Amino acid sequence: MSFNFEENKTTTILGHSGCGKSTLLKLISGIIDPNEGTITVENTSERLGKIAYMQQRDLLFNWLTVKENAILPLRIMGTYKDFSDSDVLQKAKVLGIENILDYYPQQLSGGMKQRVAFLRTILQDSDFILLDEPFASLDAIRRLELYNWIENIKEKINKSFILVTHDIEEAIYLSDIVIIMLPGSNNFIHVKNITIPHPRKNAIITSEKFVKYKKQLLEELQNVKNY
Amino acid sequence: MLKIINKLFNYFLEWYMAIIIFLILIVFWQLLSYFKLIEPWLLPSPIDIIKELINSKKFMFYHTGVTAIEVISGFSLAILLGSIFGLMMNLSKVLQKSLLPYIIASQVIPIFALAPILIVWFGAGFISKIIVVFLISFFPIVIGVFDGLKNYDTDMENLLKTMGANKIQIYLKLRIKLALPSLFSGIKVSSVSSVIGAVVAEWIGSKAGLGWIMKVSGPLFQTDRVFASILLLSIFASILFYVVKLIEINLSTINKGV
Repeated sequence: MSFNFEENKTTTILGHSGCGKSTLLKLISGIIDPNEGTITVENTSERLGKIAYMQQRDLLFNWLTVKENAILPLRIMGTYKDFSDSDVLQKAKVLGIENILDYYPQQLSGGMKQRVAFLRTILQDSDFILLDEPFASLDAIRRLELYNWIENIKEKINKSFILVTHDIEEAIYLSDIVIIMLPGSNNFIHVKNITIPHPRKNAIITSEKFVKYKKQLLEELQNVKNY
Repeated sequence: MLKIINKLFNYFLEWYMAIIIFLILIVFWQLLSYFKLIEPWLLPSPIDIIKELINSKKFMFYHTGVTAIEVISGFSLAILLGSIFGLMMNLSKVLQKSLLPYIIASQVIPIFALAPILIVWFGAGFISKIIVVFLISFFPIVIGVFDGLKNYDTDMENLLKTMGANKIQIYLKLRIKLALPSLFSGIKVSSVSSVIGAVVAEWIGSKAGLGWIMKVSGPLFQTDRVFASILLLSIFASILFYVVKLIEINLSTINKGV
């Protein structure tokens, strides 16, 4: 298969559980290399350190404070000194976690931890961000809150997101392009453009356009099952 | 003020059984010699022991100092080399296969058999004692580090890799942190056994130290002095243990901020 992810857009890969979505992200991020073919970012196949990858678990280090966790990628890259604390604080504010920067992860709720993990992901100096079902462990209301925060922060940063999920609403809410992935096959099918303007608010999930997209995608997914 | 009293009271609630048992034993022990049920040269009373401690405090503290220096030197050396060897065995399978059998074998040699030889080789001074302490405390530490470094979290390592971390950074930021609980179990076991090592080595051949006092005072029926040494030794071992525990709490990777 061949696919180009567009810059400064959010692309969602939608598919049934076990169809290889997470494996695809591992391949893109560079954690594993493909048996065949190539994956290139900025014309090179050296991908580690160039793509921020938020995994399903929050993976916060519980011996570091929230702030130390968030700036970990900067510390690793050795770019923390070029980075101002006010920048960290500003992004933390957009996510609503500016007051807990000195806390330890085990003092936080699940939703807070996911936001910290998200802050850490966007602080990494990379143009591409991969999100692997990052909100699967949260309840519906927390998730809506997070979508809102993500929409807000996308306004402030120029980055391309690749999101993997099996949640149709999440896919529509957050993305510009939705791809359906076939199980056990090597192909993407049906690229769908979502043309709701950004930043999107929670109210859109009941809008006519949103429901229409949802119906179409649901049909597509059911067709996939019959393949 | 009220808070402090409250805190002390809480400590008392936690420890009162230990304190009561201690007091009962001491009173019972004191009564044994008060009613002359046991000869004082066989079992001196607690008051006799304290008296001996105060009367010859200079002498006792000097020898406690000698033992303490032996223990701390050998123990520190064991922590340093134990960590290095544990790390090396984790990094290289070849080193692991070639070192581990010898490290295990070194533990099988009874220290009582080895100590006289070491004293012949290195003299009755500090060096032979430090080596014995080192040998006895090295094993739990090296195994603690080696086993601790086996703990790893693939997802967390992958996360660091996607941040562009190299192997050294993965060890510094993650694997060593995950190894700390196991390392500290090893160090805590060693902190106590290193004291035993020092006493055994002094017993076998030395001119100073609490082990030497015990050895020479026993045959002279100065049992009060032997018991005073035991008391000092247990106090020193407890302090060492709690210092290690304190460092562990400060470096701990769990329960931070809770």
